[in-house]
Amino acid sequence: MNSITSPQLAAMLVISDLFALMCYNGGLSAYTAVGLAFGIGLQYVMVMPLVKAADKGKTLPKSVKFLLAVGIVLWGGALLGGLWKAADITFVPYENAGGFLGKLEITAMVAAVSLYVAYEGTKAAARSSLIAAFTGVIFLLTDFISGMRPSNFGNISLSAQYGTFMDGLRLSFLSGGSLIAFIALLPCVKGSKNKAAAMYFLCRGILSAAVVMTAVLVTGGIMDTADFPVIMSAQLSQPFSSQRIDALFLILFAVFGVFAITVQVMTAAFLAGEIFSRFRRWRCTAAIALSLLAMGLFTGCTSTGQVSDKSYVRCLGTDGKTVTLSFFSDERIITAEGEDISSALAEAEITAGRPVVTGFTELMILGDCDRKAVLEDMLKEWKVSPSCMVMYSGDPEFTIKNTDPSLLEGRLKEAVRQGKAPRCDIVTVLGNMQE
Amino acid sequence: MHGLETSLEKSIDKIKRISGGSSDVLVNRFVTGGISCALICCDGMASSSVMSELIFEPITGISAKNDAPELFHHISGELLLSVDRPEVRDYPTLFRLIHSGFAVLLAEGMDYGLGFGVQGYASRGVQEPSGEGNIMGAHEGFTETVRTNMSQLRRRLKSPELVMEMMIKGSKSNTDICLCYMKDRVPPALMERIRRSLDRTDLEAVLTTGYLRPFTEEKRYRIFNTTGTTERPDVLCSKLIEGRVAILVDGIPYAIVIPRLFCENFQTLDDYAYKPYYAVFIRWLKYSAFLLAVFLPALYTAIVMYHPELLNSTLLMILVDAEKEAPLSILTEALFVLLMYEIIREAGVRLPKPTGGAVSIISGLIIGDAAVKSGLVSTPLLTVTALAVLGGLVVPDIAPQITVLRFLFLLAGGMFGLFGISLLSCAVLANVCASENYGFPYTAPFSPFKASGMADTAVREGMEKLQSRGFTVEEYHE
Repeated sequence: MNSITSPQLAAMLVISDLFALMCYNGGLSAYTAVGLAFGIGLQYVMVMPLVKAADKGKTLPKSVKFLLAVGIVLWGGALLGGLWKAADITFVPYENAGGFLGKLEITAMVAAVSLYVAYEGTKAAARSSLIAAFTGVIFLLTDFISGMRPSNFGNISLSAQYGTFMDGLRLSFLSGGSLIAFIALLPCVKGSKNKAAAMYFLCRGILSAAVVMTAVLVTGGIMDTADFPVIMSAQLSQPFSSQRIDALFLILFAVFGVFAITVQVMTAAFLAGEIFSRFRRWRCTAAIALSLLAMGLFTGCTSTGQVSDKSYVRCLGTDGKTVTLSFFSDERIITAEGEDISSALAEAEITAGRPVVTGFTELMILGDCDRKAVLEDMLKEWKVSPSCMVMYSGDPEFTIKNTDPSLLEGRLKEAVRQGKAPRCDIVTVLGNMQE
Repeated sequence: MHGLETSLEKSIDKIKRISGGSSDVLVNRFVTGGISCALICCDGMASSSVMSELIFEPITGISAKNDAPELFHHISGELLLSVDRPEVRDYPTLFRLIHSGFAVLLAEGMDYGLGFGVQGYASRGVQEPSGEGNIMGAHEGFTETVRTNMSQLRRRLKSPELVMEMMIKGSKSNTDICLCYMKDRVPPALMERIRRSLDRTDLEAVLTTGYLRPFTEEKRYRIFNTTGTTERPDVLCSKLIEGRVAILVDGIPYAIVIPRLFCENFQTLDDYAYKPYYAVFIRWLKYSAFLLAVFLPALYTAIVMYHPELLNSTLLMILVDAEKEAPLSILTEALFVLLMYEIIREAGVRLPKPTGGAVSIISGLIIGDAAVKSGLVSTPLLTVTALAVLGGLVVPDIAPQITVLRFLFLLAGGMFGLFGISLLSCAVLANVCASENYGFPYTAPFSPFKASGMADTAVREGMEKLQSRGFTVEEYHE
């Protein structure tokens, strides 16, 4: 691998760290900033033995390099995952950003450009990272200065509840995957490795703390509504009063995304070359392919969302046009109306603010309606479980709202077990209706 | 081909056979000192008056000699017939010399000839360069004659450190090439690499600098040239003093300069004639013009199409009003205007000068005015495009690259908004940063960053500080 200078190494890795911070979707506070800076300082102390060894010309054993390669591929996957998640809230043309295909298009384009940059070589990536980092620092400084309004200072105390010192410390390690790249690339640095390490950790500490503080100052008051506090702070900060400049942040997001992923790809390719000396061609392509695979593992990019982002129906009552739902992990009982059961359930998703999953429904209470049609619809379209029990009530909404669904379900099961009530699972009921 | 014959008749026969009886190869037979001789030259390449005065008159007056070697010894040792007197031992050399304006003397019984430099071909005189405008500097430019160009350099650098190595390239053209460098500024290893690169050439002819430049640049595809050209001897001298290497080619009024850095596209000799504050202003104006030239149409298209919130309401309403009447999409409009400009520019460059005026009238008044009035193109877009095109003219050395990049960025911005522009910027930046020439990074001193290099790139410090710096391009070598 070609040699690079200390500022170039610092630029490459800091871009990667800042991009990880941009994709961070937890709460931030001034305590987090302190914890983050402390964690970075701690990491500096921890890597010192490695730095000293590198200064003496010692190299890492192959087994360690292999572990680093695995780590860097996973970190590349995490970065691509961050990009995937943040794609629809950044200003990548609105029309294209949403949905699976939009995210796929954005991630694929960034990955393709990263691959090109990686193939141009280490020197090219290092030199261009330096220019990109310089541009990025100007952006972030503008953002930071615009966030330093006296009216924003109150947000520091408002946001104190959203992050602790320990959160910051944890964040410094979780978002510091480029530490692996630092260890791997250290032998390629010209001159003193100690100086390179000091420069990287200093730049990383200052810039990370500045970015977190900008987010705290700008979004502190509404931190709980911010999915990605750093991105939101850039979107909300207004250096010029007459216009919105948040779309400009997209440039920084895209550029940092490209270089962050490039660094991971390049480092993984470099380590692959060190471990398998005969593996010369397609190293970068293999690295990015593995990172994309890792991204799939992290984000489950083909699914429609996180498992925790859905409401699971426990009990459903309907009279054909109105549905009343009680959930497993939600105390709310939602009632929604529609022209038929499907439109009523779609309306219920809007009321719930998240997708409604009916596959785990344990009890359905039917009122006066075309019961056969409703049951067929539930079984075929809404994929309720075949073991879901069915019962009748004159007013399903009243029943659900006034009786604990678990109690109702337990009573029914017991009655069936004792033979006092007929089997009432949806398949049996539907079968009886066919007869 | 073999060495010359000792028989004069055989030599003349062979010359006629090789030249295919070409009518411009002249053979003048005469007897001097009692020995049969022939003076071979090429019609139109040698000066007949110089030949008769400096060669024929002294030679024909030589007293009788015992044999041909004695005759040649007398001519070489006692007659100063011309300054440049190479010995000719084979036919390729003979033909190369006579085609370069030499006269070659052959004698019965001699297996070599004597060449005399009596060039007298018509050539353009030293004139003001047409492409590199300069206000305060010299108004002399290179000509098509390599010797004249060498003399122009020597006049400005009267130092024994300036070395000019002649060589010949082109199997058919036999073009004279001159490698110029300051031997105390350029490492011998670098010179050796450049010579090796030139040795790789296997061209039949060298007719423009473009024939040689690819051999002195990287093989991989790069957007920008890592070698430069100049038609100004004063500019070339400044480059040589900075430790660069130049190649002069006979027949071409441009010198190739190795290596070329990105920042040089924004420097002119005039910068050093003005006060530093003004030079800095002009330099930053050029950097801005470059960015405008490449990005402005793309940013306009991306912002209007995808990110209108970046504009304030007044400006947005103006643009909405302007675009309301336009039948085409903004991207199509922008492409149309840029293509129109490129066609007009190309027509202006290739057409004879008298017709060029007509092209200006047609393009400016008829097409431009009519396009706006007909509503085919909106006025803001035309303004933006004109500004971008003007910006490109401020940095003429990289005008071709600016043109292509402008189109690419326009397409990226039109299709993917600022996101597309950002991604393409990353790719272009990587390509530019990957450009190197003999280990000199094209983007130095910006990246790799050299603080000392900023004195004459980001700003232009005073001459007192610059002279104490003693800069050579070797500082940037990696």
